[in-house]
Amino acid sequence: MKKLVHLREKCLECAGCVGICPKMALDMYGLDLQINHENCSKCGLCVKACPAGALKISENENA
Amino acid sequence: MRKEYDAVVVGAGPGGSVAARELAKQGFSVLLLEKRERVGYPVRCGEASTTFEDLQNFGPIPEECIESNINGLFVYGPDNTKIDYYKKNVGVMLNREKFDPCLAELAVKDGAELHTFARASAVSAVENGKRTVTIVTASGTENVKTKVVVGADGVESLIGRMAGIPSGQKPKLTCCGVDIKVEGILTNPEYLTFWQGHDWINDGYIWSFPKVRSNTTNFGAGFLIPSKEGPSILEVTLDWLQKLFPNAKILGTVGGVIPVSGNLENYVLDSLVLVGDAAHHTNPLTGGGISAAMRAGRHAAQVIGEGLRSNNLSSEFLKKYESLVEADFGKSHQKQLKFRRFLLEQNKKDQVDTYHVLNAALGKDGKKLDLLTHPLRTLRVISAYRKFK
Repeated sequence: MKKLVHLREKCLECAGCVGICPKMALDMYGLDLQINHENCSKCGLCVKACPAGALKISENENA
Repeated sequence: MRKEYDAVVVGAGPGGSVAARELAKQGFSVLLLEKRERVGYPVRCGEASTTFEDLQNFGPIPEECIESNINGLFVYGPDNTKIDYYKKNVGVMLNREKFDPCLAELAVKDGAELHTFARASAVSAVENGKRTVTIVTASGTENVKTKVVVGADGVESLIGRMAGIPSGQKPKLTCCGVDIKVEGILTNPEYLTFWQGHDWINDGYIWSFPKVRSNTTNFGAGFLIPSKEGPSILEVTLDWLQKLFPNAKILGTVGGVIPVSGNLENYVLDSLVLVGDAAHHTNPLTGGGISAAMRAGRHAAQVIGEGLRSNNLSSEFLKKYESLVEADFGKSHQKQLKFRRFLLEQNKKDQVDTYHVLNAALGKDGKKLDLLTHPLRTLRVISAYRKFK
């Protein structure tokens, strides 16, 4: 199962991913990125938009 | 926190703080919400802005918020072209860790009630002329009623989207950027320096902005969101820094995403307006948005004030705010958007021509005569721009 993963150690807390997500599946408080996995369509737009490479779509639930 | 306010402003960046202050000054009760623990942290910006004089219209702004005075722009274009544009006092470099809190303090001094670490998690529909804002704080969740909501919640704006304005970022009209704080001054301390049109940075630009007061440089980049996954913009910018200034000592990095679509078509609803990045009020050429947000904040407060006094906060009435913004900077942002698209969609050869013409017209060492001695080139560029849709 594909899943959006947030890499906290790379994150710059800019919250750009929240604004770009077409599904409103993301929100951010400090370094806490809340991902609503049910709404996330794994389109990968936030992955491309993230300036720091702090988001990725993982193939594996546990990755 | 009270149960009810005349206005709730979401986001204590420059747009929100100015709107809150201007409403409080008119005697209205104003709640200003900031979801972060501290106003202004972390900075998500290259920090270049308009002139000190312009900023003082929203002040008083203490000197310590200003890092350097800027007297020109230098652009390294494609194929060794350049634009060396000298203009005294064209703008300033800000220290936004000081500037943003200063604006929020001014709002508080004039009567706004500021809460940090308080985020608006939901906005209701209008009921009996009021909206309910759900606010999450460290101590729990509260519902606050208000006659009007000002969504100044930045590029990630959810207020507009929760209320029904399609204010999300459009992939092809959004930039992502990073800003690396480097020790010392890397480029001309009086100039903003840019690199544009170089192969893989064609879709945006690299910048080097001097902060003289703190003896650091903001070295950063902003590009349109790439259509394919690749190296992150941070990696690209670090490579570029290494190439240009191999000994640069990095002190820190911030990131940000910038709407470069031009103003949204509509950004008011009954009892709700958007201000600043939330309404895409950023300059689509430069990505700058501080001054636009503050201007919009003031226009919003003026129209909302009239609306509160006449008990009319319908979207038809609040459209007056959109008209004020369009007249102030909306139309000029449309021109900037056209110029950006024109420049980025050109092939390299035409881009080089454009740089020659721009430097002849604007450059300090550019010779206006060049426009006449190369009449075909000049005409070609001007006519291509006029035809460009």
